[in-house]
Amino acid sequence: MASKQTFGGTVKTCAAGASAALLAMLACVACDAHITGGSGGPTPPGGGLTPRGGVGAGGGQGGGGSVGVSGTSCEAMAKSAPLPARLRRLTAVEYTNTLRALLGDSVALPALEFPPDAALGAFHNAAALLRVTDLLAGGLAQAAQKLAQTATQQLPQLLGCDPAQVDEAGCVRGFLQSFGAKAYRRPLTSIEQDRLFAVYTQGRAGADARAGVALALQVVFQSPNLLYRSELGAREATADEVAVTPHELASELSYLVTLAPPDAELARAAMTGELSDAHAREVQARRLLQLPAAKVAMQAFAAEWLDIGKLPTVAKDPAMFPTFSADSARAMQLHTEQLFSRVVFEGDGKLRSLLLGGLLTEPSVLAAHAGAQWSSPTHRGKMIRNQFLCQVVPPPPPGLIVTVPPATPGVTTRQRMVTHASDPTCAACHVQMDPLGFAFEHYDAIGAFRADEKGLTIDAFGQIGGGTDADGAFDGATALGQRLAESADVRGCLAEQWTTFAVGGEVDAAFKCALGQTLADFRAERLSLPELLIGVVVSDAFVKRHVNRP
Amino acid sequence: MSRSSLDRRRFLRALGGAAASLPCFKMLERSAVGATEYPLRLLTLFTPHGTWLPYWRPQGTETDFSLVYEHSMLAALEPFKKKLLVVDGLDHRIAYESGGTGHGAGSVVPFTGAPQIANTDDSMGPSIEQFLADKLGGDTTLRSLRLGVGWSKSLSFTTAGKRLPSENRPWESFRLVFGDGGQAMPGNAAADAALRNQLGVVNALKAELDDLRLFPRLATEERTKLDEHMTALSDMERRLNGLANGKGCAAPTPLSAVDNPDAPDFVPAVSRAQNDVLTQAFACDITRFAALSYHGQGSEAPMPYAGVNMNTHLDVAHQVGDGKEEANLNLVKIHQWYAGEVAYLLKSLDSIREGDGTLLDHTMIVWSNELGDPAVHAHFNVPHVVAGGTNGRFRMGRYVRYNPVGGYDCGAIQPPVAGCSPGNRFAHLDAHNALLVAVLQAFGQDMQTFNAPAYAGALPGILA
Repeated sequence: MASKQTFGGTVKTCAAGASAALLAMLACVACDAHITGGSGGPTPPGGGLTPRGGVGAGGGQGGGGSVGVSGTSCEAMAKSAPLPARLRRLTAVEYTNTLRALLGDSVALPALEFPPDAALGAFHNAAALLRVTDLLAGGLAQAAQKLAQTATQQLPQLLGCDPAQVDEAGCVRGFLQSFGAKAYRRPLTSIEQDRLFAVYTQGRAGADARAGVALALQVVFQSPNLLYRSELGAREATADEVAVTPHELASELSYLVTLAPPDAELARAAMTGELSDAHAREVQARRLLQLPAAKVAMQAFAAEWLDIGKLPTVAKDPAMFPTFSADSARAMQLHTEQLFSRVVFEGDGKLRSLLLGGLLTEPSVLAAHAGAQWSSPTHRGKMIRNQFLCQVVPPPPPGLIVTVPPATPGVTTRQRMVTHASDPTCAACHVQMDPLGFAFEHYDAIGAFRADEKGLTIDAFGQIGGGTDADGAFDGATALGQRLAESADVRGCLAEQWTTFAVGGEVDAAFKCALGQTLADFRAERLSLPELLIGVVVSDAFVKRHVNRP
Repeated sequence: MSRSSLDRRRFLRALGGAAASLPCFKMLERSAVGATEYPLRLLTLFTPHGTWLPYWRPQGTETDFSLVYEHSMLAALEPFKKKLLVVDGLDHRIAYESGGTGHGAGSVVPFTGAPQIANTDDSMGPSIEQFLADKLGGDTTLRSLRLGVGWSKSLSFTTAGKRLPSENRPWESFRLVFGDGGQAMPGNAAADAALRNQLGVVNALKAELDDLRLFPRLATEERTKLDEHMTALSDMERRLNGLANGKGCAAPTPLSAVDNPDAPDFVPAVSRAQNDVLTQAFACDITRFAALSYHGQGSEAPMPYAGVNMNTHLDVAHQVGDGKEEANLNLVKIHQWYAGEVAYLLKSLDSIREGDGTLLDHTMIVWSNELGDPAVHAHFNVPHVVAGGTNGRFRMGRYVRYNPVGGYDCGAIQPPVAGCSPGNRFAHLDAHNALLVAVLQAFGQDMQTFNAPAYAGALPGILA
């Protein structure tokens, strides 16, 4: 009995035992509070785990092609457009790529710092969370001013005509029309052209052509038509389900595969209207996948999925890890991203190859999910649970002391955490994390291999539970990787993670139904990641959106 | 000499220049009774990690208390205690009632009193300073100002419950408040033309946004997104108009940028600079509603400048408890540092004359925390301090205690608490919403609840 009296109330600690009555009560709180997220699905095994998004591929009941949803309802759901008609604000990377494409490589872009965006799971590109706040609007205005100055330095070159030599108004009007179409990724309406020209006229007054063009460009660089990728379909559409327009489709395709705006070939395809044809989309997607930008985009997914992008700002104890710095962190991150894109683009693109290729023991992955001084099996296990099994572990219940005993000579990290397993209150949740994280005990807080822990023998034996087909025991990180590599549920989870990133939103049951065969094939290891991408691109869900569905 | 130390020197030198006091014009308002009154400003202030009450609590009685004793966290505030209201025993009850716990709920509820939306970073309602800024902030160039120090996370939420970002870089806060290097000054023809041009850009952007907003059958979520965008543009327009009409302060020395203002090396200087910006933004009536947050919830950042060069989350906050004096005293150092920064702010505000009083007399600062007891991750007994003269709206100069029972779950408290049952385990907790409601009433809002209908009424005995 080690409850303690604090300010008149009794609290409970994970560093020692506690009374049975209190235990039951606290465990109950943990379950009550967090099982509700499961959309009425079956109560998950293992005490308090919830699949992401309600009908997770990680739920383990999926098997075969049904992806955890009963056949009839899935058929019905698969017919309608699963995604809502949205406006997707560009991410910081997409915005930079967009300006780069507009201005060419010769124009130096000023540093563009977006205020941090909120994340959906691990991903910072969720349409619902990307907003234009006052800080972003202010930052964009400032950046647009600088950019416009830089971009207009060689005015005739930019305009494609010399305003000093030809009819200035005609020259500028023509430029704004073509440049605007590239920026807005669709032809401008005459009202929009006039509006930009009016801004040019204002800036021109009392100054010169360059000042006028620069002012009009300030509008273009922070325009909502550039900032948002529209999925709204045609303005005149009236049905509850709308078709994404050809120009919108071109943007969907290019930002999906390259995180960049449509290139000339895609813009051409948008003009012909051919992108409503699934085969034409596939041809374009395969072409884009050959571009270097596709590799960068896939690396961006990997960085978000594994949450290694934060590594350069993660704190490590400088006394213990003098070699760790922001620069070494970036190098570690790049190494992992390159491993990922090598398997995806030069290898077979299978999760098995990533796992057996050592993805889990990449220093960046292990360092990003560790403490400042210690390995933190809990954090590492939680990452595997969330990102590879698509199961969410609830946060500690209230009133629980979450102290890990301080490091003591002669005691291993694993031994420090013994209460997590021996105390039922703690174990209810920690059993989902720590036994997974123990796999990595041969790697310290910066992901470096260690044969022993200050002379003490390391025990890297662990166990996966939770009701997926990955359940079972393993010894060490390599064995864990092998176990995950055999699992269809883990592949299903990766498919879910990637599609969440791809569509910038929660992957719900309807969307999974719409991608039924593709997801089933990916689970069955018949598809690579690029082929999963193709499967999404050719689907009806990619080209249709629902409007104001009740 | 390394580049970073060079940068740091330049940065600190720039800060020194910026701290010089600025000539500001004064604004007067007519109050309801016809007397001239300065507007009341609001700052919500957040620091993380919870506290250790034995060293946080004042010693003495309600009206005769001392903040100076061995290991006192709030000792630095002793000179201002006539303008302090130390509120002991408020609970972030909404966190428990809505199933939220730990750092997640702790970074949502302090100024919203609203539940965190499950599995998101969203709140079920706005934070109090944003709510008031929406209602009352329209007269100033900036509706609200949100500043952060050291890997901080904003505690500000929009009406739609989205977390708003805060500005961590003092040179950018400066630009936000005073314009680019102050070149947009009244009476300068070139500057005036530049401002008119910028207004032209904003007008064109608003027209484009309106085209999008008029899209037939736009879903509510998308419309909300565009409405927020429109508000941002309108605020920018108002700011430009304010600058064009000379409603700004004289140009201060611009600050130099550094690579990582969040790094511990820079935190003390950044903190002072942000507080300077804040003081001047209030003094010049550029905004009346502000938020300042120090470090994120559950921050692990070491604080060598406070004498705590270790992981402040795992090695300090998690270790606090009865008989764990080493950790408790480290938490004292951390809290003393925060209190020192608050004292600096109070002193700055108090040094600016406004009529017969000072800016501090016309300011209300509400200082809250993510947690109560850090090791327990508890939302009961969360430390709250109100500071400033509050235009006489609050009865200041007191140490008030609520929630005599304490504890998270009344089922675990002996002797049994009246009204406690398995279905009502939080019956005894004093919801801090009552403090938020009192703040709203101090700002003239005729409201009895804020974001949580279950907790009605203002904290008793607070309002004058």
